[in-house]
Amino acid sequence: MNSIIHKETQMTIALRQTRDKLYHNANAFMYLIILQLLGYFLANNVGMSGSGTEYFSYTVRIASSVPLIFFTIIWMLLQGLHLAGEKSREYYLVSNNFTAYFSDIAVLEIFAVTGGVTLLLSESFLQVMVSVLYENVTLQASFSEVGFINYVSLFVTATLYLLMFGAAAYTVGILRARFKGRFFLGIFLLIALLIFGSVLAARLLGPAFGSTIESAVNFYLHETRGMIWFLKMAVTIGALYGISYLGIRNLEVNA
Amino acid sequence: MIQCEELTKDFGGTRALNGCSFQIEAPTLTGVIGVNGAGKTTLFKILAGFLRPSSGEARVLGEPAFQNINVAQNVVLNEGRMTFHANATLQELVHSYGRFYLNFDEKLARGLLEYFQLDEKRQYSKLSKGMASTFRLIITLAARAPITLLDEPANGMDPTVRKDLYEVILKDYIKVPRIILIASHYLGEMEQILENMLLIHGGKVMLHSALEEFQTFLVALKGSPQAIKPIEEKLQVYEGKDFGPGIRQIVVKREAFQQLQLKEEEAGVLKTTGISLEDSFIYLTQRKGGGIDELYHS
Repeated sequence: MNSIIHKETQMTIALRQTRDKLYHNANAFMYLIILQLLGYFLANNVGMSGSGTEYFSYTVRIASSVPLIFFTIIWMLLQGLHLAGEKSREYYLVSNNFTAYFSDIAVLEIFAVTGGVTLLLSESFLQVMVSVLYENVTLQASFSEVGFINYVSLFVTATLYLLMFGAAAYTVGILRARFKGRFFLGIFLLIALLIFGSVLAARLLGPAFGSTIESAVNFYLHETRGMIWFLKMAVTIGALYGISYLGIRNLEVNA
Repeated sequence: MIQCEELTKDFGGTRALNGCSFQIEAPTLTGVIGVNGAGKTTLFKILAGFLRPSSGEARVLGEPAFQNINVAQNVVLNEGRMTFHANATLQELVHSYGRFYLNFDEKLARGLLEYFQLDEKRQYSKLSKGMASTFRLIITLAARAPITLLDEPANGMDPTVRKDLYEVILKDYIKVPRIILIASHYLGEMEQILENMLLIHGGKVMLHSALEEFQTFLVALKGSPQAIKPIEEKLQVYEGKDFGPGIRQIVVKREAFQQLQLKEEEAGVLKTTGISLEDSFIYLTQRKGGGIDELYHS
């Protein structure tokens, strides 16, 4: 009997690859738990203020979910870099660049949703934890916002931010795999271009046209109009995915 | 099923393949041989769809090979640089291969793991070099892909395991005939199982023939220097050696020697002997001029 020739579709293989990657990257969830535990530890020690007289003193602890968000973002960045960095192994199983890319993106999205859900739950959990452990605690303003809409909005916000950071890290990893040594030269040139471009724009067109890291952060973090914010995120994530696809398309394996 | 037409591959300023052309249509167990850097691994990676040819064409199952999913699911490549998921156990990797290669024979894989005393619960990254080679060969053979590419499959294995593995390759090929290409430097051991040979030299196919044809491609002629000299002048000599003052041996192409149609008395003083596969390979691919003798006696 001769060996049988198979012809499955790209999508079937990409979905199978997604499951396989999730199975072999199950450790990622353990790292998320470890990093979030670290986040919890720091979250209820964000700050402390106290005062008193010789008869009376008090201490107020400040609890914030910022360390949790910070560590979850770090986790997402690491996962993005890891998926892009371990590019050759899937090709020894059945793969091409499209299925490898598709399954990476699917895994990143699952990671982002997991991060979003845990962050959503962490706020309530942190609230309970600090209430049990300490007497006087000041909670971050967002803790007081309760209700279904707030929870949905918190989940969507957290998930999209995580997705953006994951996509950015993945794009960096793919570009590094594509351009190898020239990648770092490219980064250096890009930073130089951004700095000089910004200085030049500010000189020629006025200070409003100069961009700083702060203005870039504000562009994403301090947008209060819901739809505009959503558009900014969707376009940024789409652009990052587009760049990473262009990077992986026609990429040779173990060249 | 495999068709290479004027295949060329450049890596920066280095040309790994230089107009490589050959065709394989039916199931075969073919040895791909060549000196280090001849282009064997590059050829395998092009056939597996990993690398894009710089020029020429590589078609597998009638389609261009590069990044083609129809090719990927029907070709399995085994090579030393294969990487697997970190911390994955042999059992997990067997399952992964089983999910992706639809012809995968899990029973065979488990049987071979047991025979070669590889613990399924052990992590691949913890295996010794020889054990890792054995495991890689087991899963690539069990994949039963219509095109199986084995690049130096016996690296790091001890002779006993190598002997067993050649037997496994042969038995598996007989049970499920398919295209199996093996690149290896253990020619003496490999020739017992091969049907065909593909000799790559300088990035080109130098010879693609049946094993018997390859084994008889060259012939050694031994005789007095006076009897050898006229032949040496007429034919391309691959190797010439003096055995004392009265005996000289040369290695020439058998076909060219037969075409000379020597008279009975001329041929009678010459002793003709066959050349082993390994020696044929050495004579065909050795560097011309600037030999080791010259290096030491200059």
